[in-house]
Amino acid sequence: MMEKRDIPESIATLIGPKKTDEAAKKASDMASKLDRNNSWWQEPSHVFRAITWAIKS
Amino acid sequence: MTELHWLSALEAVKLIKNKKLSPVELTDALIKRIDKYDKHFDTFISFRPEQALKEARIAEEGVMKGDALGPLHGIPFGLKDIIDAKGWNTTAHSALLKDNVADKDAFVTGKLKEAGAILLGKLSTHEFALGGPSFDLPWPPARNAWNRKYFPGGSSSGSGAAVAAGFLPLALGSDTGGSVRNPASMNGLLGIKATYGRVSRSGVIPLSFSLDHVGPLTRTTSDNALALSVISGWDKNDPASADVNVPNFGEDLDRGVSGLKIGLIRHFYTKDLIACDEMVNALEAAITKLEKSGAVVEEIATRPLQDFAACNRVILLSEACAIHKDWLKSRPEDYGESLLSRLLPGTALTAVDYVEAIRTRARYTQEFNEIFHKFDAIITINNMEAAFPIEDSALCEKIYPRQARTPFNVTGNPALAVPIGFNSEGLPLSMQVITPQFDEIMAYRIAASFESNTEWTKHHPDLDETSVY
Repeated sequence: MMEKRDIPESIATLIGPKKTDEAAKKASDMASKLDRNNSWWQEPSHVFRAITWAIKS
Repeated sequence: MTELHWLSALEAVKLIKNKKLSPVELTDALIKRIDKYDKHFDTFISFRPEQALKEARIAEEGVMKGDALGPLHGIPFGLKDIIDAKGWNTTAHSALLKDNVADKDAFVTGKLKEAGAILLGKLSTHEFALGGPSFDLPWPPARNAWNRKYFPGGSSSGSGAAVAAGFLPLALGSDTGGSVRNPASMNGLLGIKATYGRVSRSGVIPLSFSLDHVGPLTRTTSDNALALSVISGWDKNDPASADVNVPNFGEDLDRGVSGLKIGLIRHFYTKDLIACDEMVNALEAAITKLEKSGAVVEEIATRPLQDFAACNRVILLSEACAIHKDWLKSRPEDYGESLLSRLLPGTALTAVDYVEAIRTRARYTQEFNEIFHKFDAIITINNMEAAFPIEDSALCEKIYPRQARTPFNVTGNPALAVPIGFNSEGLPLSMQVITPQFDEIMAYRIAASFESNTEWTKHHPDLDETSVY
């Protein structure tokens, strides 16, 4: 399923319709290709919590 | 003796410590070479020969006085121009930061200086380590040391080309989707993205916090291991910095590969993408070489490259746009076309996209960790093709994404680019060695065994030929 994404208006007005349209298409394509087959319980962050990290002083 | 500009850092340090080579002599030789040739390769953005010579004279005095000498005493180095050095501009190769002066050293810069190394210059990059190669920025793009008509890889393009050209024995780059390993590949160098968290990024302009790595590019495996040993270590100023022991990464360089179990991901370059014949043949020859040295190589399957690329893109652009949001809203015209067109889609991604991508990343990392229960290392391709003509923007758009590096930014594993030969045009070819998290020693062990059985790292470009346009 195509995930339609839009460029924020504050940026779109600065860059013009051509660039806005191209960027929105690329973003929609990226969003569509992302594998979202994640379980509801799956945390997003544990990959960054290496067991060896110490508490920073 | 080898010409001074082709000495490895390790060779030069030995000579300096034995008083057979002066740091002044070495630095001066490199300065003369840069003066003569860099106008053809555009690797430097900032170059301070007088300052380097002054520091080299101090280094020489240290040798003569019998001071304790660091592991890189008197060795010139370069920094990708997103890495701070006190008193130097850090431009990110962008009009947006052309007057930005660093008020302190990045962690890695400080580590290199503590080891006795001498900063010779700041090196060309793709704008903010993402857009490029670009011809609409305040400085021209770096060119390939093996043929200046060709792309040197990126985004650490100046770092790769300068080391390959014999301007420096060592340079640092950064790697968010492959930006150390790409210029290493296209310039015939060793380049590592160590484990995420192994090398601090404090004082380095971020592109994507959770994917950014800093790593060295060198002409030999032993130099790369030495450089990584110097720049690694815990840093309270980098939230991702890992508080782990820093070993001598070169401790197993002579152990060989006999008995090692190596997984080969062939589908990355025969099914997910189709690599050119010359790259595939060179990689298959490298595998045969490792098998003859006693390694057991077994083909393995992972999810397709495209899955990793999609995950990497959403995380990278979401984080990059969080960093660039103010400039994107106020000064979009000050970006080069290439960076702007790559950044803009990130402004349209949603918070849910980002969270989903990070959850996906966790799953992919777990899958890779399970592979390493059965294998000591993984080998796969680096680029699908060798370097391409730098001024052919259409070809650049087509070929630049054809690579197998982003999976290891996603999973955080060490990934080392290793030269495996040259194509029929004399342009370098490369593979990657990937190892379990925090086992960079194994990557260097395999690379060193391969290097000792081949001649690839002994080849150097003849700049009198390769600089001709």
